[in-house]
Parts: sequence; C-alpha cells; structure tokens
Amino acid sequence: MRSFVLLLKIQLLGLFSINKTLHADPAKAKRTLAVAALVVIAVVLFAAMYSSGVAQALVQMGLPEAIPLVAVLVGAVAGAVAAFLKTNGVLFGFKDYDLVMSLPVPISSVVLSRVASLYAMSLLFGLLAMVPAFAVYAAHAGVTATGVVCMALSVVLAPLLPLAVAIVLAVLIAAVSARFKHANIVVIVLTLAATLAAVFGSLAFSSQADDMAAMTALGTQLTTQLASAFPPAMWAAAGIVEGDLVQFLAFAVVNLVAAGVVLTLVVRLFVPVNTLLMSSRPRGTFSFDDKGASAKSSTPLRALVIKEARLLVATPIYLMNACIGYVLVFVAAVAVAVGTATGIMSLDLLPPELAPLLGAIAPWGLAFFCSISSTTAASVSLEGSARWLMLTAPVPASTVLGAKAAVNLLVGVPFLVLSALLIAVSLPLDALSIVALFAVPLAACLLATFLGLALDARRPRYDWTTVYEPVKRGMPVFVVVFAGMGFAFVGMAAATLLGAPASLLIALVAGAGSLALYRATVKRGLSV
Amino acid sequence: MNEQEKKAASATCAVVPGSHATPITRAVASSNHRAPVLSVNHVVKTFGAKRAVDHVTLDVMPGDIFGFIGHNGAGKTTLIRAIVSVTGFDEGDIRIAGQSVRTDALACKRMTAYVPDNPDIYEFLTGIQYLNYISDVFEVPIDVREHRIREHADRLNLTAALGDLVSSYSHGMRQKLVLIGALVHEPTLLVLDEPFVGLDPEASFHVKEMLRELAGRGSAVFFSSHVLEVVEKLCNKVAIIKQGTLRACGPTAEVVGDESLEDVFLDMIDRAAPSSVTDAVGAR
Repeated sequence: MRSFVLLLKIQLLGLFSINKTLHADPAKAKRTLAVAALVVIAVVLFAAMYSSGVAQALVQMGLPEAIPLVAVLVGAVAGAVAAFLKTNGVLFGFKDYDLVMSLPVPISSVVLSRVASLYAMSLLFGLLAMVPAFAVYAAHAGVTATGVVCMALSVVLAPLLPLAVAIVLAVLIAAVSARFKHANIVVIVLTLAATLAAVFGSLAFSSQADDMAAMTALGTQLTTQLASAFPPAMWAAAGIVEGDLVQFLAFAVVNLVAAGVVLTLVVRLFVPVNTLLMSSRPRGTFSFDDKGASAKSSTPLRALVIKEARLLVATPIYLMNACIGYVLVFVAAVAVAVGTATGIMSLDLLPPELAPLLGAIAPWGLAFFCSISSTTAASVSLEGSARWLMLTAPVPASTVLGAKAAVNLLVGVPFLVLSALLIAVSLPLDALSIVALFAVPLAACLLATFLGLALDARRPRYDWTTVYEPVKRGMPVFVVVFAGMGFAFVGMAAATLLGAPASLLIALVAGAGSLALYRATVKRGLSV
Repeated sequence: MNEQEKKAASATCAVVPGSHATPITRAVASSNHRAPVLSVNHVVKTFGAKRAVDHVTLDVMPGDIFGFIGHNGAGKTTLIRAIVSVTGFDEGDIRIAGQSVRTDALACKRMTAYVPDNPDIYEFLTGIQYLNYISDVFEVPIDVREHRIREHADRLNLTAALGDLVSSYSHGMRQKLVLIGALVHEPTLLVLDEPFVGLDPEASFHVKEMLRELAGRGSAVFFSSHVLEVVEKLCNKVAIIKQGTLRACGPTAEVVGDESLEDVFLDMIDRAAPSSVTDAVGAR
C-alpha cells in the first residue's frame, strides 16, 4: 500500500506540471498559477454551460427524465476519451519504465498507481460533464434522497467501465502500432471517421430543430437507442429517476467488475506489452543501391517545412487536434453544397428575418473552424529535447518559425478556399459577401497561425514526456482556441449589425495584426 | 595553485595581459602564425548568482583535437553550448574562424557541427531522412552528401538501419547517426559533448579515427569527456576546468608531464578552489 501511495504521489505531482510550477521561482510560479487558474475557470465554465445547455434542451423537449441517462453516458464517454488519450504514455510506453520497474515494489502497485492516475483524469472529465446536467435535472424533477446518492455514486462509478474498455483498446492499438509501420495513418483515419460520425449524428439531430414535436420524438428515439447501446447508463438512470436500487446495483457491479478484470489483466500484461513496445528494432534493410534511396536536395526552408509536415503526419493526436477544424469546415461546406444542390437544404425554410443575414454570418461560420485550428501553437514545444537541432541549424529564426507557420497555412488555406468556393456557388450571396467569404476565414487562419506561433515561441515547454502535453494541454493551444472563438463571435456580431463591410474591415485588421505579430516573434527569436 | 598546476601553467599556458580574474589562461599554439578556428575570450556566463563560466579564455587551432575536461557541473557543457550558439553568454567573445558568435551567429553555425551529450533527435524521421534534413539545412550538394553519408555509415556499421525510424534506434545507433550528421557538412569546427558515451568499442575506435582525419584536413575538434585515457591519447591539447575557471590549458604532453592525465586532473580537482580573485592571482 505504501509503495502504491508513493508511486501515485509521483504520478499526481507530474500531472499538469504541478510540482514543476510549485518549485519554479515565486514570480514565475505566481504567473503560471494565475494563468492556469484562468484556464481552469474557463474550461469549467465552458463545460458547465455545454452540459447544462444540453440538459436544458432536454427539459424543453419535455424529456427531463432522459437527463440522467445522457449525463451518465456523456460522463462515461468523456472519461473514456480522456483515458484513451492518456493510456499510452502513462500505462504503456512511458519514459521512466526502466526506473520504475527496477524499484522494489510489486507490479500491481505500479499498475494501480498508473490506473489511478488515469481514473483521476477520467473522473475530472466525468465531473465536468455530469454535475451541471445533474443540477439541471434536480432543478426540474423531484429528486429523492436515493436519487441524490445514486447521482453522486454514478459520477464516481461511471468512468470505470469506459476506462476499462479504453485501456483495452489503447493496449491493442499500441501493440498493433509496434508491429505496423503505417499505424499512425490508420489511427488518423479511424479518429477522423469517428469524429465525422459524431458530427453528422449531431447534425441529423439538430436538423429537426424547427419542429419541436419531431425533435421530441427524435430525442425519445435517440435516448432509447443510447440506453440499448449502453445498458449500464440506463441502469444508473433507473436508480436516479425511479429509485430502482437493483438496477443501480447492477450498474455499480458491472463497472466495478469491469475495472477489476481489466486491472488484473493489465497487471499480467504490463511487462509483456511494455517489452513489446520497447523492443521494436530496426529492420535493417536499407541499401544505397536500392531504387529511391537517392535523395533530392531542398532549400533549408523546404527541408524544415517537410520536417514539420512529417511530424504532423507521424503524430495522429497532433494532426487531429490541430487540423480537425479544417476538416469540419470542409465537410460543412460540402454538406451545404450537396444540400442546396439536391434540394434537401432550402433557403426558403429559413425565417425571413435571417435570410438577409446569411451573407454576413457565413464567413464567420467558416472563420470559427479556421481560428481554432493551429499546428503552430504546439510546434516549438514539440522540438522538445531535440531542440538543439533547431538552435544550432545555420538558418535564421525566421526560417525556422516561418516553416512552422507555413505548415499550418499549407494545410489550412486549401481547405478554407475550397470551402468558401463551395459556399459561394451554393448560396445566393452578393459580391461583397463573397469577398468576405474568402477574406474572413483567411484572416482567422492567419490569426490562429501567428498567434499560436507567437505564444509557443515565447514560452515553449520543452520538458514534456508525451506529445499529449504540448498538444492537448499546452497553454498556447488553449489561448488560441479561446481567442479564436472570441474572434469569430465578435466578428459575427459585428457582421450581423453592420454587414459585410464590417467583416472585411475586421479581417483586414486581424490579418495585418497577425503579420505584425509574426514579425515581432521572428525578431524575438528562438527560446532556449 | 598547486605545484602541478604551476608546472602545467608555466609550461603551456600564458596569463592574458590585463587580466583581473581567477586563473585565465590562453593555450600557446604551436603554430602562432595561423588564425585560431575557435577563440574563446574572457567568456563569462552566470546563472543567477552562480558563475558557471568565469573569464575562460582559450584558442583552438586548425588541426587541433582539443580535450576539455572537468568534473560534473564545472562549466564544460555551459561553455560548449555557448560556443555552438545554443545559449548566450554575459561577457567576453567567442569567435569561430574569425567570426563572432555574438554578432554573426549564423556564419559561425555554418562552420560548426555539434554533437550533444544526449543524442536526442527527431524520432519520427528515418535515419536517412535525418541525414538528408541536416544536409539540406547545411546546403550540402547531393553527390557530396551521398558520398560522405555512405562512407561514414559503412564505417560505423549503420547503413542497413538508415531506412528505419530513429525511434527504433538504440542509444549507440543514435549517437552514430548524430556523428554522421555532424560530419556530413565537413565542419571547420566540430564540437562534441561526451562523444564516446554509448558507443561500442569498434565504433569508438572508428570515431577516434574520423576525428583524427577531420583534424588532419585542417578542421579543429573540441570535445568534453570524462574518459581521461581517451583524452590523453587522442588530444594534442587539453584544458581542465574547475568551478567555471580554467586550471590548466595547453599541449597535452606539457600539461601531463611525467604523470598521467588522471593524476593531474585528480590533483587539481581535489584542491580547494581559490577563496578570492586576489588569492587566485596571487597564487600564480
């Protein structure tokens, strides 16, 4: 038990760089803590608004009793995603494996400490997703004491089964990755497919928004399907809504047993899987005489751009996190084009007061997705312990940073131009709105590119142990996403009130500001 | 300064005129008519209140293999990182083939290759992609780079693995890859931090040969190491640093005298540091 506590303590101290922050110089620690507190507040507020918003929608549809089911389900999925993303790097393939395994502690303690760390992460996500929804439910339905206890227990128990499934999946993917050269491509394709399926699912749901009766019917149908797809959520809901303790007990037992079984399995597989992951050896088949072995020379800038692009493709979590907005904007544009061409989507269905605003709002819809997508926000940090290569390269900082910016623009600009083109030919827009359709997303893309680069170049975090840290938890990433959202919402509001000229003016200012920011970033140079 | 240090200093090092700091020495080159490849002049680097490098002055001439030794935390890596422009410095100047690192870092970088103590490189590239990346950044023509890569990779027994991802490489293989990358642009100055860590005996032998050959072609090699036997056998010049200041500097044979480098080093390192600038200067 003592060894478990010690190992868990180390795990938790490493979480979110807590220990590093506490031991930095006081002024820096204060600044970091202040920014971290702001980010935490923003995330909690955002999660609370989103979760309670979904719950409120269910109340308006007359389905308040569906809230616990949806909350448990969302909490479980959020926990599963968190655990899935963290399993590799925490449980398998972690850098201090040799050191930890050489300690005189049982393997079960090592595994338990790491699973507990994953569980803490899942629980955090579960709390954010479930508690606000439960609060809405409690406000709109008569909740008994048993219901409250069941709600509290479901928050703790709900992540266990998905955590177990996520760990098993992560183990399988890790094992396949160790043996399959192009596993990263498979992971990217699967993640993309899952994301698009989720987006189309929610679009199908929201397309019925004009008809409350149809919406309610669809909501009922959907909750029934969800319940049958994941019965434990239904059992938990039965305990919360109806006070059915037998079903709730079944929910608890399933979660606890699943966690226990996977824990036992992981204890048995811990060493073999880690050995497999660490035992990948070069195939040793290269020969200078082979076809394709000879290289083509590139300019330094092109070489740096190719290197950045290779990093992006080789790191699925980086690619998905930084570029999903571009994919979504393109998918949305295709949906609009197909919808209007086939007559499924008719502008006649729009309320008369909204139709004239379409030209003003559409560019900002595209801009929203572009402004939250930035490969640059983690690009300097991702140099990590190999940053000496960047720092000793005989090229100016402008080439190094320019290559990082170029990759985001090379990925983003084709997507946004194609998307704008599709929207322009699909919707009846005036000339100024068409210009805004291209200019506004381009400005958003420039802003995300150069703001992300400026922030990450100014305060890079090189000491990460898994790419998850700079890519998902990096401060520049958070700031770019929230700044991008703010930019899109402010622009949309201005365009709604003042029309397309306001959009163009904002785009011009944002574009010029972004370029000025880039110049200042280059002038400051690279951080050691 | 003890007797051994006095002997080494008087034989091989000269006090820089006008110096007012702790023992500042300049290697007396055997061929003073040539310009040094690396010239470190009164370099000071502080971290907070601690002086990691304190008025260090030394020259490395064309053809030199210069060993830089000191205990952990003596300031070796700090000075090396300053030479290769990875970190700045507070006072003094560093020149590479006459160009100042402070004012023309790019020109210096073009002439320099660096091999860090830990061969952390881009794991998402294959070995050959990494070498081509380095070649592109240093603008090495295709035919030249192919010839050099093939020659060095064959010699270090790494050719077959060049098509594999760096992530699958062992520490020693990465070390070899970084060394090949450093040599692919035929640097005027090769700076290495603990280059023999992780290398197998055969690779270690070949690397020593490659360093000798590079120096033989007129370049200079400057490296730190804790393997004193290698430094003694490989280097024609050596400097010993302690607490940020040079304690001995000059031709290896003169610094070592009748003893081994290990004896000289341990003797110098075991002595307490000078308590003040006056003591230090006075001791000489």
